[in-house]
Amino acid sequence: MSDARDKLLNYINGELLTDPTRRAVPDTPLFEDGWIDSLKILKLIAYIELMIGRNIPDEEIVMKNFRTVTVIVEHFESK
Amino acid sequence: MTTVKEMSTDEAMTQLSRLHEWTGSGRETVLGPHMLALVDWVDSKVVEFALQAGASELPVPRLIDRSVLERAGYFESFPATVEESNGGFMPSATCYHCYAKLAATSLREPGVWTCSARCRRNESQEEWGRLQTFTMREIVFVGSAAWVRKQRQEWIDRIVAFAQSLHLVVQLDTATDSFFAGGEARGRKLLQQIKGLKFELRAQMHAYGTPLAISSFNLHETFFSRRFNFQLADGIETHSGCVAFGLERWALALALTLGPDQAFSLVEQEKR
Repeated sequence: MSDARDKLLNYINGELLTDPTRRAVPDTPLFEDGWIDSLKILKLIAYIELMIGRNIPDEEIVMKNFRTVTVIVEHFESK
Repeated sequence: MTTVKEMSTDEAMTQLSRLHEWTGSGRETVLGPHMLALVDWVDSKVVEFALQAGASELPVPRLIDRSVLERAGYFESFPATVEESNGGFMPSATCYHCYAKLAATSLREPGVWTCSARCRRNESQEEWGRLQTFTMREIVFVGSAAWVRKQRQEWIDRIVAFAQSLHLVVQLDTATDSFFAGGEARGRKLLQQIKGLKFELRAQMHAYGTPLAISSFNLHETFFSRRFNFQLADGIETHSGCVAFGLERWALALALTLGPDQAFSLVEQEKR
């Protein structure tokens, strides 16, 4: 598992998911079943921006780039 | 058979104004008899589609009670809404009427409803087609998540085909405005964008800036079923969705695309 994927998973499980029974794995669909709400998405984006060192334009924030932790890391590592 | 107009959009707009069929703008826009007939014609076509899709027609009052809008979280989204009279409001979308009718019901099976109402929005842009008071026809569907999503896709296919059959130049875009605006507006907008909760059908009218949204296709997830406590009797999580038609915008898009004469002839053809 890449460092970036570990860091992002730790952030999501440690900071965003307040329900202890819910733990994301690399391929958990983040936007189904209410895992990420409208406040958490802002925190998630802010965290990814810190990780990659640039702002993410709104038009890049679409399902094909954000479906799972694996997808997020692959998308932003390829940029 | 309808043919596309030979005049430019500017000429069509000038002709519409000269005929007193679309005069003024924004708050002051007044439609003439032919444009009003065209509005009714578009509405009748949508109702036909809705009835074919198994919808029930819901008659709704002109105004909606404050209590309904509070339950829908309406004032969190639109705090500047103006009261019309003694607790009655003209909402920004017709479908609130529908959720009020469904409140606290148990549905034996998924359902489709349609209703039409006058709506009001404080449109900030002075652009043709952006009326402050307008007529919105909506189709509302309630069922499981998968069923509601399938309904929306079928409506997208149906209405895109309908628009294209009328020679409208349309595109389907992810909406940039939030269906449920509010304190976390950017978060909600991004969530809506990621989940593909709202698409808009926009008609291109090149001479007048950005394409005009004439319909929207929305998923609400469980937002309204929770707020209004309606649910499927079998216990499956209850989702809702809706399709909205800005009827005056449809009429304007037709008049500017086909030219007023061709657009008005759609109504006449129906009478024959």
